[in-house]
This record gives sequence, C-alpha cells and structure tokens, in this order.
Amino acid sequence: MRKSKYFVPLLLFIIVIVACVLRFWQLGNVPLSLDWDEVSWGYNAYSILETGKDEYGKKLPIVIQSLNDYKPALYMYLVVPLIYVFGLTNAVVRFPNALFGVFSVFITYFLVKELFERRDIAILSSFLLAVSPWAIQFSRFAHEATTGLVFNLLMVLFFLKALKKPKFLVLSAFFTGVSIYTYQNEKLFVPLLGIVLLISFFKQFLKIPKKYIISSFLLGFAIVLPMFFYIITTPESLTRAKGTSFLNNPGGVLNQRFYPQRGLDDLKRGDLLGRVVDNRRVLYAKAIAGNYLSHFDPNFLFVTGEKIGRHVPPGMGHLYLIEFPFFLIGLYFLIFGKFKKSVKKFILLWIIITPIAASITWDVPNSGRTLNFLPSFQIVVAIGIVSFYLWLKNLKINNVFKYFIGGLICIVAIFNFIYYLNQYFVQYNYFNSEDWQYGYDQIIPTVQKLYPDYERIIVSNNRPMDESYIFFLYNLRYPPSEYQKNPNRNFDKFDFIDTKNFDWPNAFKNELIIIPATQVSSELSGNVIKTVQFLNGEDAISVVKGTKNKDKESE
Amino acid sequence: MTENLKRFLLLLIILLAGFLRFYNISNIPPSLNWDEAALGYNAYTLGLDGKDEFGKFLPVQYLESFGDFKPVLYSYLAAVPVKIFGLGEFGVRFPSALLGTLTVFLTYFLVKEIFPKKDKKNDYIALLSAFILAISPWHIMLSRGAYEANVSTFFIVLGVISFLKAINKNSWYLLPSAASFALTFYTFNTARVFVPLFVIALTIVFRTKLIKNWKQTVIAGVLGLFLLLPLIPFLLSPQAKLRFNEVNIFSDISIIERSNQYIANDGGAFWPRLIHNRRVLYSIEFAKHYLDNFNPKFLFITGDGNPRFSTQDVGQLYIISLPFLITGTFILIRRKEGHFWILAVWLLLGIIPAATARETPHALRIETVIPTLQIITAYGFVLLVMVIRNKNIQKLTAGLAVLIYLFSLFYFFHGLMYHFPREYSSEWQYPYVEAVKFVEESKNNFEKVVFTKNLGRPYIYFLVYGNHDPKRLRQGAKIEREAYGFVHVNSLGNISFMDNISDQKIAGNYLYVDTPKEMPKNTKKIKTFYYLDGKEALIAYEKK
Repeated sequence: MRKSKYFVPLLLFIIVIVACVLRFWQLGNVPLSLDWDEVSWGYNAYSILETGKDEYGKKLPIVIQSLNDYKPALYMYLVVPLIYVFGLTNAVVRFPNALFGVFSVFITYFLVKELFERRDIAILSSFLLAVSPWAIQFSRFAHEATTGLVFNLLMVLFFLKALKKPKFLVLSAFFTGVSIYTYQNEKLFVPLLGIVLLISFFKQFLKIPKKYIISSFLLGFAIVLPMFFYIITTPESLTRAKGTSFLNNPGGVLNQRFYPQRGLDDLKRGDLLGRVVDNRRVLYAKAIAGNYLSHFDPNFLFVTGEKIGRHVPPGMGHLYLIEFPFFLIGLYFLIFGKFKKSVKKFILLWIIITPIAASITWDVPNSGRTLNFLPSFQIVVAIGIVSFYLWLKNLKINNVFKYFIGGLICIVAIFNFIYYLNQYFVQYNYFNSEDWQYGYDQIIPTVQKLYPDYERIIVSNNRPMDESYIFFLYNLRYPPSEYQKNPNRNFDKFDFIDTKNFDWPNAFKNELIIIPATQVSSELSGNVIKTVQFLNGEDAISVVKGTKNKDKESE
Repeated sequence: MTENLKRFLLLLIILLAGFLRFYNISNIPPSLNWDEAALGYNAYTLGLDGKDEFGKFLPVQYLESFGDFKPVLYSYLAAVPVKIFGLGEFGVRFPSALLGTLTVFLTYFLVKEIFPKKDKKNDYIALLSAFILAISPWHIMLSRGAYEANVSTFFIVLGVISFLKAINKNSWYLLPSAASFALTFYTFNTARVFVPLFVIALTIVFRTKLIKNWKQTVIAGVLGLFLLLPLIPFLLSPQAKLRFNEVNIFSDISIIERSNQYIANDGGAFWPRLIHNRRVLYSIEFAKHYLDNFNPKFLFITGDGNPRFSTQDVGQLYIISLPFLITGTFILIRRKEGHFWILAVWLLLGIIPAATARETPHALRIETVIPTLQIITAYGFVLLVMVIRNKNIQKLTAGLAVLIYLFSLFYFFHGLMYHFPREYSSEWQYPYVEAVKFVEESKNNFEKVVFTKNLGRPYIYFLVYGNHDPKRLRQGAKIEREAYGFVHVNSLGNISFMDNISDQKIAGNYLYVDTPKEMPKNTKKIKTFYYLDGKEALIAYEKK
C-alpha cells in the first residue's frame, strides 16, 4: 500500500489518545465512589507516605494485610508518589491503573507486531483493546489485575524479542519476577504463561546462548526470592487463596449433589463400582471443569457479563456483541490461516491457560481473575476482521453490495460502541451505586459535624457497609500514625461492630449509630438524623442517635 | 470394513440404544408426570371409543388437556401400546422409547446422506454418530419419558433423510419427506416454528434441483399442504398463541421498564430513544436467550436445570465430546464435505424457537437439533484420530476415547437407575400413585373425599392410576374453563379437588388428603404417602 511511513505511528498515536480519553475522563466520578479495596489501597499508600508503614504498622511491606486478603503491595507504591504531588483523592488512587491501561494498549501493538509480523493486525488489536469494555472497566478502578497484565505483556514482548536479540531475555525475566508483586493470581498464571512461551517457541529458545538463559533465570529468581520468603514466614498470607478456593470450603459443592447419601445407598446395595463413581473427587473434578468452562460461556463474554456489579456495567458483556462473529471467524483463521505454527500455538494456549487459576475459586465466571485473557481475544477478533475484510474485498459481487455490507457492519459497530459508552458513563452509577459501596462521602461530613456531641460512634459492618472501618479511615484522613498504635479496626470514638442483633433500646443518648438503612426499624425511624440514598433512590446508610439516658442505666 | 461387520456393529448399537431406552422404563422415571399422564389417558380413551378425554371425536387439531392444547399425534401413537400393555408407564412411554431407538438407527443413514461419498471414513462417522446418539444422556432421558419432542425429532430426521435421498438419488423421495415434515406439526409446538424455517432453507439451497424436478416438487408441496390443512384454522386461532405469549420474552414487562429507566437517565435528548429503544433491548434479550443454549455448563457439566430432562449428573452431552465437537466444527467448515452446511443450518435454526422463551437453556425445546451435535462430534472424533499416523497409536487412541465414553455412560446410567428416582421423585408427582390407589379403595366409606391440588392436576392421576372409566370425567365432573384457556377439573364423582383445604369451612364424614404443611390440628391421620427419598408428601386424614 502507498502510505507514508508516518501513517502507522500516527494511527498508534491516535489510538493511545483514544485510550487515554476513555480511561482518564471522569476517572474520579465514574464509577462514582471507591470500593473497599480501592479505599484500602488509598489509605495504605497514604499511611506509607506519612509514616513509611502500612495501616498495620509494617515497615515498607511487600504484601499488605489490608482487609485480611494480603494483597501484593506493588500497586500501593505506585499511588504513594501521586499522593505526595496531588494529595489523596479518588482519582489519584485510580490513576496508576488508568495509566497502566494505556500502557497495555501501547505495548499490545508491539507485542502483536512481534508475533504476527503484520502491522494491520497489530494496530487493530491495539485499537480493539483501547475501546474494550473489559480493559476500560479494570483500568478505571484500582484493581491490581491491570498492573499485572502490563507486566505479563512486557514479559512476553521481551521474551519474543530475545528470540532475536538474546540480551532482552534478562528484561523478560525482570518483568516476570516483578509481576509476582502485583496480583495474587499471578503466582499461578505467570508460571503457566512461562511454560506456554517455552512450549510454543522451544526451538528458537534453545538457540539463545546459555549465559543469557542462566543470568536471566538467576535475576528472576533473585527478584522472586523476597516474596518466596514472605510466603514461607507468613502462612496467613495464603488465607486469601484458601478463602476464595472452594476446595477448602467444600460444603457447597458437596451438599448440592446429595453427598454422601449416594455413597451410603451404594454400600447398602453392595455396589462397589457405584461407590467408586459417587465420590467427592468426582464432584470436585466436575465443579472445577464447570468453573473453567463458565469462562467460555458466550453470554458471559458477549451479552450479560458477570454477576459482580463492579466488573461490568448493566446490559453489557465484557466484549462487544458485534465482536462475537469476528471472534469466531478469527478463531477459524487463526487455526487455518497462514501464520507461524508457534504463534498459533501460543495464542491458543494463552486463551486455554487463563481461566485455570479462577477455576478453583468461588464467584465464577470472574472477569477480574481472568483479565489476562486480554489482549488475546482482541487479537483473535482483529484476525477475524482482517480476514473478513479480505474475503469481502475478493468476493465477486457488485461493489455497491460490498460497501453496503461493510457500511452496515460499521454502523452496528458504532451503535454498539455508543451503547457501551452510555451504559458505562450514564447508566452505570445509577444502577450499581450499591456495588460501589456508595454513601460514605455523603455521610461522613454529617458525622464530623456531630462528632463533638457524642462520646461513642457505633458503625455497622453489615452489608452494604462491609469493612466500614477502612472507609472511615480514608474519608476522615485519620492520621495513620495514630491508627497504627492499635490497628484493630476500632479507633478514636469509633466502634465497628455487627449490628444485626444490636440492642437498640439500650443505646445511650451519647451514642451515635451508623447503620445500613435496611436495619432502621419503624421504632427507630424517629431517631434518624440523616439517610443517604443510592443513586437509584433506594436508602443506603442512616445516621441514628441513641435515646437511653445514661444516668438511669447506672442506677 | 466389510458390509457384514458394519451391519453387525450397527445392530449392536441399536440393541444398546434399545436397552438404554427400554430397560426398567416402567419404574424409571418413577411415575408419569402430569403431561405424560394426560397424553396417556387421551391415548387410552382414543383407543376405547375414538374420543379424547373430554369426549371430542377423533381430534386432529389439539387435545385440550389442561388447557395447554397439546398436539395430537403422540396420543394416537400411544393408543395401540396402551391398548396392548395397559394404561401404565410402559404403554404410555412406549412410542417415545421406540422412536428414540429408531432415531439412532436413522442417524446412521442420515450421516450417509449428508456425506454421500462412499469411503471408510464416512462409514466410521456414521457408525460413531449412531453410537454417540445411542448413549447420549440427553436423548436417553427424553426417550424414557412420553415426550412429544422426541417423536418430532424422529420425524425431522426422517424428513431430512428423505429430502437428501431425493436430492442425491430419486426425486420421488420428496413425498415421504413432505409427509414427515408435515407430521411434526401434529407432534410438537416448537417444530411448528422450526420446520418451516428449515424447509425454506433447504428449498432455497437446492432450488435448481427442485425446479428441475418440478413435478415431484409440486406434488410433494401439495401433499404437505394437504396434510397440514386440518391444522391451519387452529394455528391461526387465539388459543394457539396463548401458550406462546405466556412464556415468550417479548411480553416481558420488565424489559420495557428497564428501557424507560435508561431513557429517563439519559435526559430528554432524542438519541437515547434510539439506542434504548425497547426493540434494541428485546434483540439483546433474544441474543442472550439464544446463546444461553450454548452455555458450557448446560451442555457439558450439569445439563438442563429441570430434572425431568437431565439427571443433573452430566451435561446434555458428555464432557469428553467437547474437544471433538470443537475440532469437528472447525474441520467441517474447513473441508466443506458433502452437505455439511445442513448441520449448521439445522443447529442454528433449531435454537431460534427456544430463544424466544424466557426459560433458557431448555433441553426439550431444542431437542429438534438432535442429532446434529452428535454427528459433528463423531466427525471431529474420526478426523482427529485420522491425524495420527501410526496405526497402532491410532487404534489405541480411538479405543481409549470409546472407553471414556462408556465410562461416562456408566456414570450417567448408574445415577439414573439407582439415585435419580430417589432424588427427584417429586418432579414426577410420584406420591399420587399410592394416594390415588388408597382413595379409590376407600372413597365409598366416606360421604366425600377432599383432595389437595397442591401437587398439581390430581384429576388425571385418578383416571390413570385409579378407575379409567372416561364417564367419570365426561359426566358429572365439575370442570371449570378459564378465560386464558386453562382447564381445571374440580371434582370426579365424590372426590373434590381443592386449593388450601384447611382454609375451607367444610365438614362431615369426609376423607381429606393434603400436604403435611397444610395439616390442621385435631385430625386423625389415616395414612401417609412418601416421596422416594422418605420425605412426607401427602397425608390422608379425618377430622375428629
């Protein structure tokens, strides 16, 4: 094609700008509030900046205990300098992820070019990632999966480069090691990805001089070492993996399936073969297989998305519905097209390994734990679009027809894009403010005003106010040095308790109570000082005052 | 493969299919569910005096039944076996099990027509398709109950085979094809949407051949229309639409409410009305319900959530089929063998009727796509095995895969035989069997019997498991017909059927049969009827 050599760089530049706009515009306002994890990132970063320690008083930790989920800490350190410059705001907490989201778009271009040696597929993949609902979703809130994704992309990119220039292997090893510090999932995914790279490019890999392989291995090992020691010395840090895995909490899987009644029935009949198949291991295997496959449910991917409202706006899948046909076409041409065998193998294996880590957890399908699908799906769709374009171009029909078909697809695609923008930027806050644990920034100024008049402030930690302590720490900007003295969630006048069975008539006049609006009974309604609503009009959080006279109680 | 070996293997497969469909069919599933009971009783009265249960002579348009206007063919087919074997599970389920077994047989020939080239590979694919269908949990479950869908699948397969024979060999085969397709209209509601679409697609693709043999085409068309003629007035009537409207997504109010909320959130601009138009939302809803039927969990892990269609132990397909199905699809498109596209069109059109319903995925409503998935699986299996060069490894791999299939079959069938009846007897209204027998024996000792409607449609069980005499229903029964078409039978002789018995102010020398939850105090239990898992289902009592 007769195009100037600036054409592709210019396109890439435009794509990056588009990616920036879609990720940074209204960053602090959509989604409308920080969820618990984001607030925890924010407060811990704030704590590090002020004191050099996290909320629990750990000095420069590589893993933060946070909400007892032991997050690898890298994301926090990305937030720290931003707080120093801009102060602690919602947008600042999200900023590194938005930036990494843009990086991923940029890197994808070079990665795909390295793989397919075709600029059309590369530029299209990076464009599709720039506008991808899935990518945008996880770039616009502080979720460490996006950071992990970027390090994985860099790992793959430099591995591929190393096949030509061996010294890049060291860089690849570096990013491999660092990615362990970004996200829990990576501990399982990164080794798998490494194996997939080796399987796919084994012959070329063997040609790399030994000294690079050994030094890269040593570097990667050295980087991973502190994390390794941390895990060994802090067994609690594995609780997160245990808590989310159903293997340690098998009740659900087993009870549904009439276990162990079946085994008893088999024994009674002397049916040994039956006893073998009516076995809990079979149930586990089926549950894992089902969880794994749920990530390939076309509805999850293209129409309804997953159940967790923080991961997808209403009425959308994680990919555009219009991408579905091109995904199928792309898969076909990826398999049968004229691409290198190693590249085909790599892309397919990448897709196959991604849901493995998520399959042993609850909450499946889960778009966060499988964010590493990106940008493989975009690459497949890009191949589909390019193949379809070539097919249409060479079709022996009237050109008017071709323009008509092409135009129609473009119109539907644009429609789909506008629909998504509307669902995300207009509808999302209205329908899902509860998922974003909305209400604290409205309620806390009231609490601050009333603060001097009360001796004790009781805050519920029942749904939707789970982990309310961290929202109070964050919104009050409570001095970390004070909190670290006794980091047991209660601080100052604030007590955070389960209020489901709270003894209301015995709440004293000098006690202020903050509870989910659903817990405000009719007898209490007279004492409500303020109630905050979710955006869809439902009551969210109420501030209630105690009534009992303290003097009478002491008599 | 020699002809004799092929025949022998096919025979083995048919015997296996027959065994899996007929073995202990009287007890598993444990009892007739209400639709089976209704089809069975109508078959009984048709065999008795040529009238349906309410006394309509030789109905062709519909059986009124519970007001769901059932297609008639199943009951006609069941009339003979019910006459021979008596009104019970075996006779009522016989047509479904028999035609299910024959569908396996036909599938072998269907594959031969779709891939007409005579070679070893196509022999293997044909045999393997029949084998996979023979052991298919989906097809076994639906063959073991009196399901109209299963009969319609038989006729669809027969129609396609004849059609392809007409294209490949002799055009006169169009006649049996037209007849088979027409018969599906008398068999199953979903087929009434699918078959016309499918026939139109077949006609368009083979138009040149059909025009060339225009004589046969016209005669076949006339024959088909002639067979449909009696049904057309009913298809255009409001009753035919009632049931459809009740379950379809386009009458779902919540979608309109959602559309309105979206538009309200957008503010007053005009373009939101475009993107949040309810038609857009309905289209998305349709896509969702369509793709629901490709939910991997439904297809490969637990199957349809309704235990009438799946034991919940395995998917609609065995999970071992997954790799073969995927590779089969891709390689089939790649190699474009024979009339391969028929499988794709059949599959994609077959989902459409089910996708307009709210309840998806739905193993029964998409049974029309059987046996496409099984054929694609067999194709993928054979082509994958052929990739292996070494003959010994090839045989070993194929043998191993077949072994895994047989193991999966064992897992499924063991669950069906030994655990399914106990776990899901409530889905089959099992407690009625004993309760009805008891009431029929003791009803004359009481002035009146008051029987609960809580388990649904008890009257049909008195006719099927009690005294079969149709006079009980046709004379002296209290029958109420709702505006929406539903039919409620409120009494048979001195047996009354009621909701919420304990709320009614009735007393006397009555026998009551009610669910344990509804039992009032101060009563004398006479007898308790149990589900197969030992839970109490119904209690017969007197008031003190």
